[in-house]
Amino acid sequence: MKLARRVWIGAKSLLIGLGVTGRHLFRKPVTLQYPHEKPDASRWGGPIELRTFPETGTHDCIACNACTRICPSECIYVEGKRPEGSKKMRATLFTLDFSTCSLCGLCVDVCPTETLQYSKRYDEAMYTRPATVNDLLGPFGEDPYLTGKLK
Amino acid sequence: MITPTAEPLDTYTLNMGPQHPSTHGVLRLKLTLQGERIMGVEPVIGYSHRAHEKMAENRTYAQFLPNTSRQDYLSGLIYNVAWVEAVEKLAGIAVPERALVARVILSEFNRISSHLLWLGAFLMDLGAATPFLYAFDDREAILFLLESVTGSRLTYGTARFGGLSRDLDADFPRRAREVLARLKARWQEFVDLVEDNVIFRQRTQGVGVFTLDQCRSWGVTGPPLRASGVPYDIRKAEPYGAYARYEFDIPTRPEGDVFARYMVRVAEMQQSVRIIEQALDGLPEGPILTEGSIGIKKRLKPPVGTLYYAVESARGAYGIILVSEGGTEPYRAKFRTPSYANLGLMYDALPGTMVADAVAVLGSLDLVMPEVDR
Amino acid sequence: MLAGARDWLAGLGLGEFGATVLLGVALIMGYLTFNVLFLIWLERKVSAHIQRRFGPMEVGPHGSLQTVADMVKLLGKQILTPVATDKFVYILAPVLVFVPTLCLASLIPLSGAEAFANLPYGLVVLIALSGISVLAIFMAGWASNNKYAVLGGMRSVSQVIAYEIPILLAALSVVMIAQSLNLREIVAAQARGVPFALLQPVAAVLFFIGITAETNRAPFDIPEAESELVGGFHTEYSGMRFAMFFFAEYTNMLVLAALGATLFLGGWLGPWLPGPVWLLLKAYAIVFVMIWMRWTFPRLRFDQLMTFAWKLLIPVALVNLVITAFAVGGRR
Repeated sequence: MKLARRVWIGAKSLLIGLGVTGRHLFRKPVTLQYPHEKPDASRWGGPIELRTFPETGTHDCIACNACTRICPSECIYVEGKRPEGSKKMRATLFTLDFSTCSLCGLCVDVCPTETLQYSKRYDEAMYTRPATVNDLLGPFGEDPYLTGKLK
Repeated sequence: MITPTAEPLDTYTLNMGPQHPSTHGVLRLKLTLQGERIMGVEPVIGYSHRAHEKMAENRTYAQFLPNTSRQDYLSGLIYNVAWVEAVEKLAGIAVPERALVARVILSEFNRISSHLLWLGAFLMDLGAATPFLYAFDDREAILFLLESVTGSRLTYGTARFGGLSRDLDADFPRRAREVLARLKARWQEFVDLVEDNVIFRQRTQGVGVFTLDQCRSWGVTGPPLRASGVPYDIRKAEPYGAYARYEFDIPTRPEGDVFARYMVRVAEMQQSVRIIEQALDGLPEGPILTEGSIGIKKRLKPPVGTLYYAVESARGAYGIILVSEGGTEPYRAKFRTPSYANLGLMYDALPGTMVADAVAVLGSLDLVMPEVDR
Repeated sequence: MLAGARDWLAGLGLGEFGATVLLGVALIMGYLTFNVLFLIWLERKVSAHIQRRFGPMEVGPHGSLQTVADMVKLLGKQILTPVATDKFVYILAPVLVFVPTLCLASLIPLSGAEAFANLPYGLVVLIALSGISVLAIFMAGWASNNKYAVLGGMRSVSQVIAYEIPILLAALSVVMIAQSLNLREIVAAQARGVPFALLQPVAAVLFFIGITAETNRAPFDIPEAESELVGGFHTEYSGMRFAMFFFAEYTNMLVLAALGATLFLGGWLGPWLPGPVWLLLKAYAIVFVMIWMRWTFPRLRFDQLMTFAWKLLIPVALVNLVITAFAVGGRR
């Protein structure tokens, strides 16, 4: 009789289990059908980029190299030039090797002008290793500080 | 059932190679089998060694932050917070109340997500593929929540000396409670689908028993220890952060088999939910980071000294031995990882079991190989 | 319509018997191929929706052509033949595992009007044929020259043999009530009364568990489980040869389910729709439950599997048989 009871409990557990999966069978799938639907990346910390400030319409990188010094992966390389008559330098070359960047955000925290920020990009992919090096000055055109339009 | 004889000629070696769906990382197990029975086991580790402890000697305290999450990527936030708290204790840095509570909330969410992944992977090893998807559905909700706070989903670099780098926004408590409600609705489903299932019970009850002596001799901590009857949890034994303020139980079971470890982890998830609810109710206002950007704008130079700081990660006791000689970089940082100690149980527990059970036992230990190898 | 096609073929010079054979083979093979494509798609979609996913969606509407694409890919794969195999047996095994299923398919009556066969001892022939596939599985494991394949083959064989007994005993209980081994008679008996699933619920459950284990479906799929250490009997097979085992498994599922529908659910009986459609609907319903079970339960360990068969199912089946015998004898 104990065996019969055990068989009954066992069989019941199997049926209850089938009930759980059966209920899920008729619910709406939770898959996000990428690329037809895109995910919500509004809070995502993506590859580092330079912020565009609304007052000046350009970035504020002074090529101080604080980010270069703090980066644990040594993936940032910055070169700068001082515009004539100005005390602050401007970055002329800013590359970040995304293949070694760990998105730790230390460069974002250390930047004295708060120019560095996380972007919202999440689908960076490249075919060659040299393409992993991001040129952060790429989105910006000619530098108004260097051409003299701004001081 | 094949009764093993003492004949060594009957044995053969089976290599459960570093690439195997069930070893949860790159673990190589050289099994000596006799028929279906395992006579001996030799784990080979080191496939994931990246020299974190050496890197710690060549990076400043702030620069080491990304490394912390990569040791155990499933408890990344807990490890991140552990490093920061160890350095804060060594250097005597004060942390605002809001940051302490926020760290507890985020750490407990991390613990739940780690246990959910373990649950899914463990059941997949046993052959049931669907709980994996259900667990990941819930985990997705947690990861999305953590992404909204920290910007990352798996490897978190959010902790800073003196607090957290990003604050919890005003909407966070509401969204967090939604995730908790969702989790609470899921517990009964796991009971129906997994815990009460007679096949699951037959596969896990009485299998892979770890005795208290074995646990003691290998220095086992975490769920395997609590499932063998010892109610040892660092959050209660040596409270750190804001844990002393919250009421929660330490789930313990006396049997020490695979089923007990499953039950302990499920109960731990429920206790974590309890902690988060209490923390959310008592979330103080205020700054999230101590003024002065400690360790970031100016390199941190803690005083000379040695410190051992332990936290309870999802896998057990995670300890950091930090030796400072007064410089900007640690002189030595040693990481005592729970999986490394728990792995030792394989030597004792596997011989005598059958091959099919080896997978269940290995899964129930919840090893993360990168943490074993560092 | 079919009779017309047969006469036309006979007129071509094949003779009536030849025409029947040719037509029969073409129909069965054609349908079984479609069946495999359909079942693989069904399994992927059902498992996906149980897991709150979509399954194949891109190739064809709702992924209906996905299996075709996968088959095309498999056809293009390099067939690796291990060096030290027993060549003849190695190549014969995938074919041989499929042949008994094909024979079974031709023996199940599709409707009362036209059957491909009307054997007075049909049930015995069917059960006997289904045992031949065991040989092919072991041949596959042995010829692979791989100790793990042999292990997997042996486990498969013992599993199939153990679970054939409950199937046979459950079918015998039905035979006792219907007083015939002829499948058409069994269905006719159900037409007069109620489907045997209601009279013999225990036998129905036993039969269902038995065919799940016969076809190596979860929770009895240790021989082909990927996460276990030893590979199954088909470890050393790749490409189209591997596909043959797959093909055989899905075909076996359908055929045994159709047998179950014939024995317990009333075969081709049902209002409005033609007989074969009802039979297929019932068979696919049973297959659906098999798919549902696979994605819900964990796997049974091999010794637990054997214990379950020998120590639980067979005694229950025997008790059921004895009770049925007394009940049938008492009514006379």
